[in-house]
Amino acid sequence: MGNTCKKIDRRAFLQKSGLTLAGLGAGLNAFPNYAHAGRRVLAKSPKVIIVGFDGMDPYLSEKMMDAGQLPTFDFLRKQGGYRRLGTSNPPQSPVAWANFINGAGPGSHGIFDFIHRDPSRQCAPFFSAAETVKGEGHIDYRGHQLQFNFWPFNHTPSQTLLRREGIPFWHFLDKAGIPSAFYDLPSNYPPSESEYGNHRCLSGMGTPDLLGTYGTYQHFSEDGPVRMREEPGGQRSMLFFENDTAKATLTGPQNSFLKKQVPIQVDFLVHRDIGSRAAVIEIQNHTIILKKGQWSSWLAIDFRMSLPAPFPDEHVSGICRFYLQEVAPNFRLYVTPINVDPTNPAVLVTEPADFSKKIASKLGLFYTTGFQEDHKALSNGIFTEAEYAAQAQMVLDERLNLLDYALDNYDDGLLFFYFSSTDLQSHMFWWDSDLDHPARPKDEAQYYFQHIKDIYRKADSVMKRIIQTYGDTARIFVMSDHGFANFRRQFNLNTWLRENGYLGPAEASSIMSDVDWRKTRAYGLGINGLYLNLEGREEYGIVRPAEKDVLLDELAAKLEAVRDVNGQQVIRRARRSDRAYSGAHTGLAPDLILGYSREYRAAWNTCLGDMDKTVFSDNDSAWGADHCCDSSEVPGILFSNKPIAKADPALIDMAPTILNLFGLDKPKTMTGNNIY
Amino acid sequence: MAKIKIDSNLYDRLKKVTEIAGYSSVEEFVTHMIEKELEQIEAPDDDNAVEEQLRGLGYIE
Repeated sequence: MGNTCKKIDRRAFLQKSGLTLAGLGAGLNAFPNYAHAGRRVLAKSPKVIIVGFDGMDPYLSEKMMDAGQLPTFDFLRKQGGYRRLGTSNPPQSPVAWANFINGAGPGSHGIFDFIHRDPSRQCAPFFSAAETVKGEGHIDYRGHQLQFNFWPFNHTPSQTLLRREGIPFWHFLDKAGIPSAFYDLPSNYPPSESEYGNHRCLSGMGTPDLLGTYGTYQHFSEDGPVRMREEPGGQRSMLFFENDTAKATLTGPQNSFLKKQVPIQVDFLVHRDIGSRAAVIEIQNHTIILKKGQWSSWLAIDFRMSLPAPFPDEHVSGICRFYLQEVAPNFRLYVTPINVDPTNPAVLVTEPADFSKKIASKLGLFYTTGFQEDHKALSNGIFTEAEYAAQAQMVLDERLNLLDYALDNYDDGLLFFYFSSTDLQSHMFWWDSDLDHPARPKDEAQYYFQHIKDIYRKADSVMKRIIQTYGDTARIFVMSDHGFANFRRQFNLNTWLRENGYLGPAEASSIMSDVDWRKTRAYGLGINGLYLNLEGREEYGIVRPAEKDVLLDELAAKLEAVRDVNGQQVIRRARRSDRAYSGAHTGLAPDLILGYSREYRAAWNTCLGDMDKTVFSDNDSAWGADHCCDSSEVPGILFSNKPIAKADPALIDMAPTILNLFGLDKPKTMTGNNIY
Repeated sequence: MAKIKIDSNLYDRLKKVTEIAGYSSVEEFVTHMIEKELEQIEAPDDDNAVEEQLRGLGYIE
């Protein structure tokens, strides 16, 4: 479970007391020079506000501005403060936001995809942005494993490490005494420490739930499986009613003190009233009454981690909401992922550690996971489109409350605020086409695409308010990390490699199970990555280093020449990473970055190494839009309340621009440039 | 303690490698190698768990 730290300190041990579980308008004056280290200066810093709308697309924005539907954005555009913003290569959010954070490309931060692999274990995959490292040392005692952090034991607990390398731009602000606050910042979990105490951050994308996943909903229904069944993003269980009462079990985090770790379970009761279409749920000290279609508020649930005597049990708090979908004829109850409790966080989700408590003291409990809109529930048929839209609206409402908090607590310096709605709702509802949508009828597809346009209008009204309040005193930016496109056709790279003799044997179905590495020169893993099976790098590598150049150029040419059945080019660019990236952290980069044409993407199965029967197939998922194409196909947006001089700004230009606004020189670690 | 028989040529090779690698005895070296191998074999659950976690990302099914 995340970056918890399980240890017993010496005094507690000797006193037989608790185990310490340490867990997680528009003219501006010239900006004065704050280029000196130390605590913040007495004079106020300038104001810079950045609002990030993940995935906000320039083509849709321009259409809507032209139609008079985004007046605030259009106003900025007419003042010269609009550009399409160059995205990362590949245009995946963890890569893109890391480019923004470092002011430099993937060679500076070492993130090339959502998924990396460990070549010393051939192709063992792992999440690129954070790594949980196992602890060392423990004592076995009565079925538990106990760690003591004092001599002579000196055990080290497991911990989660941020894998993003390089120096984030806020470090330079921190050092100069300039305050900065980041809300829901992607690619920063666990949140990096503030060396000088002038930086605050609530981490966003990449933050796990209490189970250590990216969000696992729990679903209980009368027609559920008799034994709990896991599926990507969730788990399903059956409810069996006797006299209109059913017992159920909520799954919590693993009890990491046990030698054989099992999830902590919390029992609860469900009493249904079919006539009233309502239910009463009793869980720990909560009794909640829900009518069909109602959501509960956030509930704090206590998960008890048993410890052997004489040590008292430890407790971990998580929060969740219940949603009563149906009472009869088939009772269905959805529970959100168990989020880290911001009032009592088991893992660090903010810097400083108490920042989440301060926010919660004003706003109450709130989503702390990185992916809050439950798109998996829609993809897996737990939610209807309308239910997903409603849950996503709840997320947006919470985020707008958080924005109020952020602005109320903003004095000067840098404020960064992030919205996920434009991305996670677009993945499910974007459909900019007259062709059939993968998962819904045409008229529904158009109805829900309209919903995306409503979100863009909402973004416009949010910015209108911010500009009205701060436009004369702050430099304001609106940005996105990439754009969007329909995801209509999927391309299975591993199948293509197999059919073209680069991967064997002919009957192989997965690089994780039945591939023969002696017959495999290249494999695909992640969403945009192709790796050579390189001798001396991969555990079972066969491609000699002297063959690498010729093979890469051959693969790149062949892949760019691939055509779909209708003659359309599928891979716009296959870039060699040794030419595309520079920097100290290119070690884990794929050898080729595949940049798909709009409407194409890596097949679902190929991302974790599985093959399909055919190279091409239609996308059949409710996740009907994506952005993991070639970077030229899906730029982002950049608006500013000052005319932008640079014709082709990119994500890496934002950090040096921001530092310049505070009178700081561009550090050598950055490769971007000032956009003004 | 259980005993295992191995070919004498293999044992000679083990002795040489033990000295080069700095182990105090062939027994120590062999025990360490076997433990490492067993860890790998017993670890697939962790890999499966990581894979299952990655499937929870919306970009993967």
